[in-house]
Amino acid sequence: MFQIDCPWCGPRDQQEFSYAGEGGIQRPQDPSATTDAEWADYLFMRRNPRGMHHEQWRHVHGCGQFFQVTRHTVTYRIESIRRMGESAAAGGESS
Amino acid sequence: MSEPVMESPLIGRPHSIQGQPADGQSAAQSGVSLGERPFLGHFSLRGKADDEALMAACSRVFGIALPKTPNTWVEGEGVVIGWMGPTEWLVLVAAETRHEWLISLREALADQHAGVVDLSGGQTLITLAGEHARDVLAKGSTLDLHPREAQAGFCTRSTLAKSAIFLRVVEAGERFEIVVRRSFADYLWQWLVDASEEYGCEILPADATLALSASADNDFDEAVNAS
Repeated sequence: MFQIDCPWCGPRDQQEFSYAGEGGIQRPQDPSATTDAEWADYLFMRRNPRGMHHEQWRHVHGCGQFFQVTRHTVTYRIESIRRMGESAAAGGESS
Repeated sequence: MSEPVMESPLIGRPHSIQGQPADGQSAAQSGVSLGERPFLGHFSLRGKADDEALMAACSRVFGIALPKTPNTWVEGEGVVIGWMGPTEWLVLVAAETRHEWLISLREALADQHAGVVDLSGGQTLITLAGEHARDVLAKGSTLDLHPREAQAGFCTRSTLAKSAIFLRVVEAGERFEIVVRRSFADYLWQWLVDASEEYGCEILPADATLALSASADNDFDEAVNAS
């Protein structure tokens, strides 16, 4: 268990939050021009790094907001937390 | 066809309606007092906090501005408004004023980009007070409700004993209100009664009025003026 510093509510226990998938995934600009492989990659393929990971979390039992978290998957250390739309961290490329 | 009648979700717990003194103790010795405030008006108000026309319309109808500071509640004339999220507020009003509030709110916001949903039948409010109220909550909550962290005016959604709740601090460390969904109310009530037992739990008779601090403030002012 760990605490997450909600950008609206401040530090709260992890049980108030739900994980909402990998963050920073860009929808292809022109879906009709993508190949099946590219589309499948966008839809289904996710990174599973041993190290820093860009994630989305939601304060579901709180303010209900989604936000971005950069977390180390081994140490669980949270490096940064940003509201949606705030500058994405460098190295946030997906797929 | 008979008139629809509102029924508290705690209907199966007669002590929640009539009240019950603490076991083997006088009421003065009870460490916790529990009570339900049934049939209040609960409205969900959705809209954007940076929409000035909406904020102005809300201020006109409530007589007080919506709280924009996260995790705070404000009190107006017969109404309590709690911040639920950047675009959501919970409005609590007394049972007998529910319909008037709903009508005036919907009229005032008819031309606004906003939503008003009546949740009154779907949730209820439980009050928890006393010197050990915080100890009871600590058994099932991860919130720090010590007065240095959660002062009067604090509110939040959270979980209590695994139920999703809305918690309002009426008096720091002493008086709390818990809004819980109907289907969890009976479970949470029993959990609270059980968790409070060791401190001596007095159950107050059900009271369908809204707890407002305005009168208490006046008493306080008078006491200050008199001294």
